[in-house]
Amino acid sequence: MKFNPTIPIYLQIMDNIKSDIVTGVLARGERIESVRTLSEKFGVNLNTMQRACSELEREQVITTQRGVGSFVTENEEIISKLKLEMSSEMVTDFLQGMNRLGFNKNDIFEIIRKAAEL
Amino acid sequence: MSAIVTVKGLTKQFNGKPALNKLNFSIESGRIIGLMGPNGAGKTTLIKTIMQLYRPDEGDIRVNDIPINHQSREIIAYMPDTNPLFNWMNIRDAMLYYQDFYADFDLNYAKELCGALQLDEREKVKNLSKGTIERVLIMLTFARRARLYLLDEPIGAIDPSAREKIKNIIMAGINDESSVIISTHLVKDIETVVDDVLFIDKGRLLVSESADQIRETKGLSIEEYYLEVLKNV
Repeated sequence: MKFNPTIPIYLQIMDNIKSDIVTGVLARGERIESVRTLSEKFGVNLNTMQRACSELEREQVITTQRGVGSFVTENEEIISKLKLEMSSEMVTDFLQGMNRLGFNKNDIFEIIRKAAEL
Repeated sequence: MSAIVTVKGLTKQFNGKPALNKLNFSIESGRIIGLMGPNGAGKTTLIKTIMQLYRPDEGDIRVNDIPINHQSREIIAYMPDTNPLFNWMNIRDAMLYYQDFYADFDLNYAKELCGALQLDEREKVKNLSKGTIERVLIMLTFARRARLYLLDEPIGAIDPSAREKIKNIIMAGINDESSVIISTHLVKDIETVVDDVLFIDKGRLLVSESADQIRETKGLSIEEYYLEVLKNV
């Protein structure tokens, strides 16, 4: 995975895993790999991976059962919250970009309407 | 977590000029530390002083909470920035040489690393390129089950395609009980590897911070922050 060096790596890993959950690459209730395996997969050190996983656990995106492993949440409420968070980030980025280009609200609505009709 | 290395007031002079100037820091176990600084900053001097190849003029160093002594080296795996191997050796001889020296050398893991690093055990040291020597030294260093790994410019001559592999070996090499110190000026190459960074220049410690803390609070990459700090010295 290619990282943006100006953003904490653990946050980028969390985003990556969250997007895998939302898009279904990781299924609800699926067991996730061990921290060591994941750290090799992402090419980051163990502490970074550990931090990403404990933050995900704190946000209840994954749950850990002692001695068994970690699993993707089966709680639909949490997953739809993730989806909303991700969409709002995309919309914010999009709006900022459009504002920079000098479009106002009505222009933006018009552009989206056209694009959606295609 | 406990400190594996503690350095207090460490000063080392050469011809009256301080190469290390009242350094204070400590390194927790389970961490990978990037020791960064420009040429002549004191990186190699610091590593050699921890290895007791230099005697400090002032201050003290504790490894595993014991003032350094002749036994400290038993738990430190050191990769020097020069080639310590004999020309008559082949890679296999070098492995056996390390095995004789260090009780914690794991020959099976050494063989596994040879495979990962594409090293042919029958090759003679004298015929190896600079980059291949570095790969051999990485293999020999990480085949030890040490508590502290001291790497002095480990990837300078290694081509970018092999660097990834070496980064993985470094990251796989540690556990909760061990730490790695990597000295380098190739800051960019180890951005995702290090937990913490130590920036030094002219023998002084400029920054000792966690890598994610820097990204989080400054919004800068380690390299950008490094350049900024050094510009303002």
